[in-house]
Amino acid sequence: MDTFSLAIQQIANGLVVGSMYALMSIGMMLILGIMTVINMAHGEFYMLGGYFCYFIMTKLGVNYLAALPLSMVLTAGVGILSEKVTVRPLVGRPWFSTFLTTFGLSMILRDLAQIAWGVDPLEILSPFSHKRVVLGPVFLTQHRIFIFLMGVVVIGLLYLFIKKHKVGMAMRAVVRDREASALMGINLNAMNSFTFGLGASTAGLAGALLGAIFNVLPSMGELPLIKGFAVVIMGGMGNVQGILFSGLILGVAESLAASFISLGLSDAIAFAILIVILLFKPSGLFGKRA
Amino acid sequence: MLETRGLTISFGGLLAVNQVDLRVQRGEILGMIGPNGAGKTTFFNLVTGFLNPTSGRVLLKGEDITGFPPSRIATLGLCRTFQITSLFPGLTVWENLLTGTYCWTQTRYGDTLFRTRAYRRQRQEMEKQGEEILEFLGLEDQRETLARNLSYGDQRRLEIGIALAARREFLLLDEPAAGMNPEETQSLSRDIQEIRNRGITIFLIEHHMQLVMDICDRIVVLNYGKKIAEGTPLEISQNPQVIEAYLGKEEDIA
Amino acid sequence: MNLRKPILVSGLLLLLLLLPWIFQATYTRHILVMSLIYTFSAMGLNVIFGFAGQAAFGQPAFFALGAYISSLLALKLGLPFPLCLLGTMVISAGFGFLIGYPCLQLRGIYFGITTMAFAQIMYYIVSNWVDLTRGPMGLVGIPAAGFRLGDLLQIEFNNELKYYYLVLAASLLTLFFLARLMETRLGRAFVAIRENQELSSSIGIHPFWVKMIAFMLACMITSMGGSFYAHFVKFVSPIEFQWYYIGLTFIMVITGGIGTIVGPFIGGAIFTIIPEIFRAFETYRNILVGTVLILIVIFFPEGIMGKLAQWRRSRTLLNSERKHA
Repeated sequence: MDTFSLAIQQIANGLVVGSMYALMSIGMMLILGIMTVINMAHGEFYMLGGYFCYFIMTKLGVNYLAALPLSMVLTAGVGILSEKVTVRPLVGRPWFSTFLTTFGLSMILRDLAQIAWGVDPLEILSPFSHKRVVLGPVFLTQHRIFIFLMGVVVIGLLYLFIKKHKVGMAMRAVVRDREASALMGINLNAMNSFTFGLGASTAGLAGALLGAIFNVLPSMGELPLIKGFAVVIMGGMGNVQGILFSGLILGVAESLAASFISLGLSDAIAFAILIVILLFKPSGLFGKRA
Repeated sequence: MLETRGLTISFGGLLAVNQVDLRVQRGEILGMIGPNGAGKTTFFNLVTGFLNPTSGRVLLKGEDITGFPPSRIATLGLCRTFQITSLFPGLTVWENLLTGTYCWTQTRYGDTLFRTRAYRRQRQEMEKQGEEILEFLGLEDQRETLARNLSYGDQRRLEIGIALAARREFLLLDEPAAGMNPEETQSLSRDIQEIRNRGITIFLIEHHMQLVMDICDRIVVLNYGKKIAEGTPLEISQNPQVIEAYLGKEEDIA
Repeated sequence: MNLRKPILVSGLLLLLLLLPWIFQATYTRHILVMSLIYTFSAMGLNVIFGFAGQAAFGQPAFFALGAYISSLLALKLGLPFPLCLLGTMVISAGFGFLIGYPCLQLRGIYFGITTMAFAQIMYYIVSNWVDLTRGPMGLVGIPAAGFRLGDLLQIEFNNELKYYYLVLAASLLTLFFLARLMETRLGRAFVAIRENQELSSSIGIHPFWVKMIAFMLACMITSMGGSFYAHFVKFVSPIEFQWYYIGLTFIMVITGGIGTIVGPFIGGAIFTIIPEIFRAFETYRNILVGTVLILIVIFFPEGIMGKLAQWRRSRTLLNSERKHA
């Protein structure tokens, strides 16, 4: 395969993975923006989404398309529970308190998954997997196209939700001015639970979608967590479109780096980008100046 | 002591401070007043290094300090307080005062390690000063109280205490009387005059007219970033432009 | 009047000196040594986080870095242990400067994340630079710590007992150094910046350079622990860069008492011993550590020494009230 075709192929692959980075990051961004919490367990929500999907399909015999929303719901449930335990008791404490408790939570969830389901990778069988589609010089499986579409659609829905829906507007109000929102009647506790649940569910969806390509295992959330942060910072707080594009850019950059530089270092790309952006434009590639 | 020449700063076209020429004489109490938003705190920020001017210069004791960082300006002899209460919240009152001595203490590590005489002497001096300031401010009872647990009035006094601990020749106070009742303001008034009597030059921003009129030797008035008047309290209180700035044109009222 | 403190301190010192004689099993002594080694990690983090108030999330990477540097100095350059230790300290401080320079341009969350990102990059470089570090296979055959003064004196610290005293001496010296440091104006500057950075600059403290010194010092101390680790366990691999250690180090510092001097020492010791006790529950290790972390942060954020300081302060307030009554 000549360089050009390889590049295009990698770009296509990168867009698929990138859309999932963006999906994860939006959840993190919401949690960070609305609750000022760095959720170190977000990678584990991603992981749980994958596991829930697997078990719903294998134990309950549900098909993939139905399993997706179900695993989102389950992950949301875990998210809401997590918030009650690791965030709620720490109101009024400095910001690194929730960093530490969610860090502890991530350790707990990872070990639990390992104990319950073992270390061996599990494979989610998607109805789309085996069929290949050829678009010009590019080979893509149906599943990958499905992932990308799901990613864009869900992100688009989230964008509209935040912009137009009553609850979405309440979320924006809370980011603007927490106290005033409370005075206006917004129930902050309910908002916190909702945000965590929503963030968790989108991470879970990403896990369930990618779990059919890369297998499901307890440590699968570790890297997506940091990459998620990189994307949040690249995209800029509160900027959904920015995050979508940043996620795609990261995915593509990684993909290209993996084939043209070295596989091992492609993961490091996220960190390098993160550092460069934080130093030169802390408000993100697309963010507005703070 | 302090001089600004054509000091200007613009934020995206808005001139928050506009060509201000000012002189603060050694040993005087200069007050800066002006309606809200006139640019007073911005001016302070420019003079103390927290903001960089778009144009113009700041001179301290004849030396050009334009663009210097706040820490360097402090070592050159100037110290400021802030509009919003600014203390070291997790430290006790005593520790707050000791911390303030940074710029004139020189404890080298060797001295501290071996508790040499130099170290002990310095320590004694710091503690003696701390006791004096505590007494001066009437905060002896609160010595071991955490700064964040003090009453508002006491916190404001502690702020001045920290600035005093730094032993600078020049003190800038940003609305020291904010939120104080008449009794506290009186007491503050006396304290500021006492500080000046000990040889420290004072430049303050205030909204509290009574305080400003009582203790300031001279007053400067700022409006929309420009200096519109300068003179003794009497002159200022009779200056029509000043009255207009605060109350609006007489025609509008009538 | 105040004889209580010196007696207490001497008593504790005596206990520390006698510990390896009370517990003579090699395994127990091994744990004792390890807990002393990890106190360096805790003390290092305490300098940047406890004293200077900057939450740096990548510190454990410097422990691993120290281990690698020391090993490489010994293996590739054949340096004797004291020079390895010294070299590690100097090189780590250098890395601290290089990494701190960009990171300290940022504050709060962003500082923390950037240090974490650098830690991850260090991990990748170490894992992938196989020529230098043998990658995931790690470095083996690291010589035991030892020093010689010509032909006169030659000591090799090749068993748990001797190593215990070596590391005990080093960590107590570090502790003492830090205690005295916090009484210099630099130490006060650390605390001032933690409490209120703006106010600090208005009284003459230059935030960037003071934070930089704190950071470099933290990296240096943490890497010392790594060096001792390498020459004790005699094997290092990229696993030392593990995520787990970030959480664990914070637990150590917080339990002992953030920003106190002795706190991290205690915390470091406790939280090496506890995971060892739970060694049988290896699979549950993360769950336990995670749970403990959550519980401590929620219920016990001042830590042991912090609570002690609070208690002492309330006693002083009570006493002064009684005086005035």
